[in-house]
Amino acid sequence: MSETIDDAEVASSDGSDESVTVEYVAQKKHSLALRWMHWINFPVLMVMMYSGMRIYWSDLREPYALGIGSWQIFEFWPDQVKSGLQLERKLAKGIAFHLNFGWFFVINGLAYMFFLSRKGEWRHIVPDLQAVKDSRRTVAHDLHLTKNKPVQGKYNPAQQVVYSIVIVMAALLVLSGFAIYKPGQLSWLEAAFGGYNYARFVHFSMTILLMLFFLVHVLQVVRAGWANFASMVTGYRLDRSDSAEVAPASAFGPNDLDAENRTGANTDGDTDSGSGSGARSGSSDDEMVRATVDEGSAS
Amino acid sequence: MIGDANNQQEAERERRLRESTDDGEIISAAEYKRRSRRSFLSFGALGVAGYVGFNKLQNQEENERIPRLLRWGLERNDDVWSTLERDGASARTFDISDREEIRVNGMFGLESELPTDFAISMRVEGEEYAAVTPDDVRSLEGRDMVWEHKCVEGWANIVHWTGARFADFLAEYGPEKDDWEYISLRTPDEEYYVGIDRYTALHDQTLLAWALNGEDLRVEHGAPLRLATPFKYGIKQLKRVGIVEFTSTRPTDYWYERGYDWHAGF
Repeated sequence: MSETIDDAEVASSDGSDESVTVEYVAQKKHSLALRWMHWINFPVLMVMMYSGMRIYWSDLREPYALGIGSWQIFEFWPDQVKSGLQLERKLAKGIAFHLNFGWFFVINGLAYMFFLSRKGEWRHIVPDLQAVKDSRRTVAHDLHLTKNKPVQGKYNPAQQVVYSIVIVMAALLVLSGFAIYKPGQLSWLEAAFGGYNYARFVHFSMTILLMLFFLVHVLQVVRAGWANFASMVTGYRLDRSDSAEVAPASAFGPNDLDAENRTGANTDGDTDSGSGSGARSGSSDDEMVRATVDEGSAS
Repeated sequence: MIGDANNQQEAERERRLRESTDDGEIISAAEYKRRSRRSFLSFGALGVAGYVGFNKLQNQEENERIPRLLRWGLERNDDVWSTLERDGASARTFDISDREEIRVNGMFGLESELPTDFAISMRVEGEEYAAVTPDDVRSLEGRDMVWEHKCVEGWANIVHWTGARFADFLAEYGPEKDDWEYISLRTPDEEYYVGIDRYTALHDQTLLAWALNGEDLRVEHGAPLRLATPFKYGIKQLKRVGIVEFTSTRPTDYWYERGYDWHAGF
């Protein structure tokens, strides 16, 4: 391990073109628990959406189309889709699957809530105000409207915003589901949604929005490439040892801006610190001294 | 330069954000290869197992028209909900002015001609002990209730029922021995039948109704008397009650035999 990092150090410090022996290292990104919870969602939501559609189309006379009242934007979906997917006249099986598999989603969601709170993982997800502002720039960047990318931690600002919304959506999905499922015993919950039909509307809308999220999510995963996808399976992300993905935090920050010209010893010191925490704290002290020009920046 | 910062402030922010990602263990590419192979193999194996398992479940031997395991799960669902406190739970009620037309969805058991001297046959475990006429029931205290009638298909209508509380009906015409667990309700021709549990039968909002939205029940709505309760889907609210039988074992149910949850309740 230290061997690899030494190589990287040599490459970056001499800065010339001929030294290109690119080394790769992998850094842990996603814990085992997170990966389980992530992948359980996939088949469970597939089953829930499929069985949900069977329930939805049991009412053949008046499909609940997207729209309000009699004003409909469009019906979901053409008849061929319904018969092709065996969605018609499968209400009993739809209910049986839906009310059994729903519990897996609920339990998985509760486990995730516990995970978020216990390990402080919510800090990665929940955006601060700046991240909310920056999320627009992520979108612009990904649409190739600008080359300028906002700074980020584990997730980029747009991911933070969208993932947070998705968590809320999933909670609404479950709660509206319970309101529809037990409007007698949980009549307060039904009332909280403004009634049965609104609970159904919320349940249905959240499903559609989750499907849209799923499409964008898959598209973005394809765009982000194999290393990113693999990290959700293996837990580790493989990257060039000199890339931002594996660099310690101390490699970022104000000093690097002027270090750019100097090819300073500071950068090398930071790369080194990847192998030991002692070295890292030492170098950040060093940085703090230099960073005093910028008021309040040292923390 | 490393990172995406454009100025000092962003750079500082970036360093702070990156601090939270620092604790991830760093391993060599060779070690990654080993672990990655293992992870992908398990991932693939679990995926295949899940796919095979799901197919097995779909094709599993059926219990009343749905896979046995799913049937088992539906029963466990009811264990959960009946264990949770539900005394005092009541469905939302509405103002009479909110009432709507109700859809007619099924005519099972309503096709045959009703005799003029029609009376409900009251039975305990198959033995008739009394016959109760519609007029007998109408002599009980009438109640007006407005709630949302929900169909298992997903639609719902707010309707106004008038009838006697089922609990009042049982107090007057129920069996002497109050040790029953379930009631089987059937149309006179026994074409359509439902089973309800004690909780539902005795619930305050469960009616033996004779009028809908202020008018005497029409045939398609279950004349002369029907079950109306906001704690069950419409499929359990028997129209044209002909037989009321008290049992200790769970009676069968028309839609239960066709793949639906026996409880089908809220």
